[in-house]
Amino acid sequence: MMRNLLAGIKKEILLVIRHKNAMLLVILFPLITIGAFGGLYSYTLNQTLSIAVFEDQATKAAQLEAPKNDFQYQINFVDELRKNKNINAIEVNSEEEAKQKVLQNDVDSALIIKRPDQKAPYEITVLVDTTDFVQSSVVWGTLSNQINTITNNISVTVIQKIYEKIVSQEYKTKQQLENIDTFLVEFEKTKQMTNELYGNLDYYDANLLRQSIIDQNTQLVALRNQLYNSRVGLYTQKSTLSYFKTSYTYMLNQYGLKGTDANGNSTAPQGIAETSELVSSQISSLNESTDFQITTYDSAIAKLDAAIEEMDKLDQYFTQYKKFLADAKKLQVNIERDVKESRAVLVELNETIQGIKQYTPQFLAKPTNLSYGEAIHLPNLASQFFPMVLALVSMFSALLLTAVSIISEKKQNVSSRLKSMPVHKSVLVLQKLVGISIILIAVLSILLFLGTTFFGIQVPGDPLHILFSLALTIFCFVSLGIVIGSLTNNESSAILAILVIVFPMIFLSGLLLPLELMPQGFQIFKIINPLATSATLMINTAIKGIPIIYSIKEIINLAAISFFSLIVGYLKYL
Amino acid sequence: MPNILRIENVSKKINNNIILNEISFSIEIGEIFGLLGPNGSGKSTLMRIISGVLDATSGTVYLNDKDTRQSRKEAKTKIVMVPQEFAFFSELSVKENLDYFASQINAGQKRVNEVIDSLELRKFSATPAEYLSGGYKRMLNIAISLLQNPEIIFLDEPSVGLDPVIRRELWDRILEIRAKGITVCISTHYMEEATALCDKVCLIQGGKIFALDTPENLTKKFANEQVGVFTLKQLPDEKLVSKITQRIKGTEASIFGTSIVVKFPEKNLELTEAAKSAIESSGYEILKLRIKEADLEQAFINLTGKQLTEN
Repeated sequence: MMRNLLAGIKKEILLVIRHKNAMLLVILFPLITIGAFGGLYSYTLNQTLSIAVFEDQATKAAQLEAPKNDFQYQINFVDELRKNKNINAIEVNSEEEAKQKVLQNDVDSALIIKRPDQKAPYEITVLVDTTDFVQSSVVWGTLSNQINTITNNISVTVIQKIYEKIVSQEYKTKQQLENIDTFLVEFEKTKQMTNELYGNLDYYDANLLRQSIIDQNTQLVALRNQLYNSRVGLYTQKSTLSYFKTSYTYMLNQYGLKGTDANGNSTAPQGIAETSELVSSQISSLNESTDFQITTYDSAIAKLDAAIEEMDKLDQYFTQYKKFLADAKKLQVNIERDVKESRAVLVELNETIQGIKQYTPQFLAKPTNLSYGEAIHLPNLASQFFPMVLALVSMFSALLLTAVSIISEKKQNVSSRLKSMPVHKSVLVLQKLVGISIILIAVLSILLFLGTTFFGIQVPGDPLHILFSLALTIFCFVSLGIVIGSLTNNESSAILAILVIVFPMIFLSGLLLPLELMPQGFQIFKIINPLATSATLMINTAIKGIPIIYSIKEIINLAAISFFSLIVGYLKYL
Repeated sequence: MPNILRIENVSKKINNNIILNEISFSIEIGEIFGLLGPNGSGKSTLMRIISGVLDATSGTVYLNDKDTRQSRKEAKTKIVMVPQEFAFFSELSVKENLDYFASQINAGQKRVNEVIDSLELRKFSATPAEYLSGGYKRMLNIAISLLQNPEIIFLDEPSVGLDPVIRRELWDRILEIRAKGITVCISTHYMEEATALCDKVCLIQGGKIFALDTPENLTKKFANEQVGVFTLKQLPDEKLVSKITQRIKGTEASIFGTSIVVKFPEKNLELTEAAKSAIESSGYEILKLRIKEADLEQAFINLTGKQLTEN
């Protein structure tokens, strides 16, 4: 068995070495593929991107205007873009020209920049050629990064100025707070004083005072009335006395009691005259006394009236003062509330300033700093695509080499001869599988070596795991090749069959378009498409360096496809 | 001698076309058996069925009285077939080809060397097969089959395309093979080959056996006539043909360029002289006369009404 196998492997190797077309297929095709691929993609990440830039007139005008205050900024996007050494910014005159340059591949991308006025934000459109998936991704990534940088610079500048303004208010705010606190202390005193005054006013009840005054006034009025009455009595007494005097005099005269003196003046009778004189004198004295009292009473009444009037005025003043104090108290409450609210606002403002001061303007302008963390460092695009290239080369080489080898044996009648010999078909299938697989494993290992040596491709994975992945990939495609070779009778049929299989496999491998973008139903091809599965396996083991046990799903897929292919191949072989 | 191989009522239909129809015969141990028939007569198909490459639609092949379908592995070991076409890797050398096929049947280097020497391939052992002459390619084709030391070897049209010298060499090798006790079965459409090599010949046409006997007996039974080929100085015409056929009863004549071929009903020199006289009396000058006696090919033609070769 082993001798059979070794002879078969030797035969396959010799046939490949001596067959010009096989050599081209096995050696030259992979070499050209890896050479072309490596050359194309190994430096893609470092190449200069040419970008057509169009700024409309309004944008330019807006930029030409001098900033009117600290918060206005002025950015020349072309200059900013040129700060990136990987970007070659080319100014164009119209949006259409920019678009045409992209479509004609004169530039990698175009930027359309619009800013209607200084206060409006920049409106930037990146035009990419979406037919070039890889290039557009690179362009998009680079430009996004650069524009983000520019935008961040603008934000940092603006925030820096706002920050400075806010922080400069800190001292003033503190001063204000101190002033308010001082005011509040003083105000508290005023308030207490007002309260005391108000309390005193409550203590000195004006109504009681006024009532007292009114009572006194009433008594004075009563007294004055009594005085009036007394004065009336006095006047009456005085009239009575005058009448008495008159009457008495008349009587004296009438009855002759009235004498005349030597001078002829009437004289009262003796005794009577004296009495009359006395009475008259007393009456006069009484009159005088009464008049005096009346005058005194009138004066007192007048004073009392004046006092009452003053008291009324005082009452009015008192009432007004009390109302004033009550209003003052209310006002003080409002003032205190407002001042405290203002203080709270100032405190909050101060806290805000303190809070802002904890951060840098850079943080406030750009609180997040997005960067790509590389779980695996891929030095270039070639590294990313290399597993797919390996899978593609494996697929094409294995399918073509195996199918053509089987057909060649048919055409050389070796198959017929072997069929007539006592050789088990399974041994022949195994020889074919192992023989061609060994050749391809060797070739692809060389490719891997060339890729890592000349194109900077990094393969951090375990060599044994990589070899296993490579072998399984090749086994799978050689098995498919055995099926194709067994079912066809000439090279053209085989190539046609290979094309029919290969194109859907490439299309549904994720190489042209990510499978994730396709409808859900197409996701199944990630599993049943050996190209997609082998590429995933190669990425996992070779590029990501993940232990092969974590790719068990892919291994099972490829093993299952190989198994079923070998069953069909075995049944149809020879 | 006992039979090594017995074919009983073997038929083969492909897409309703009858390729072989109730073929039955047997081959004795150590003989050279010939299957003689034109291209498309079914010889190769029959050989493929016997060697196990093809399955018969019906009928049985017995090897040493054992049904080969019941002992397929034994049959494949003891019966080898040398296909008409070259069946080896043209990119590999003689030695590499022999080594590869030897390894497939577990034959050792000793056997490889024996075969190389027996077919005189030693001097070409390192030569890529594609650079061998047609004769040595044929030798290599046979050599590969001999690696498994068979009891019976089927050679399908072994001398097609070979020049006479190489053909003779090939015949010598075939006789050597038989001398080693290997039964040989040759399919051929060359009468001389069958006559020279075969102990027994089976005439086959259209998938049917017409006759089976030794070449001598077949010739005697089915081809007793003779042919005279007269090469003339002038181009003969149909009048001459008519004159000859009218003068000699049972004679057929036909014109091939400046030659007139006269087929006489029996081997008789008087008939030849009569024809010669008729030609010369018509004013033609005879440059050359060749008398050709009937052979196996003629027997085949007589039997089947068809020629073995297109010529």
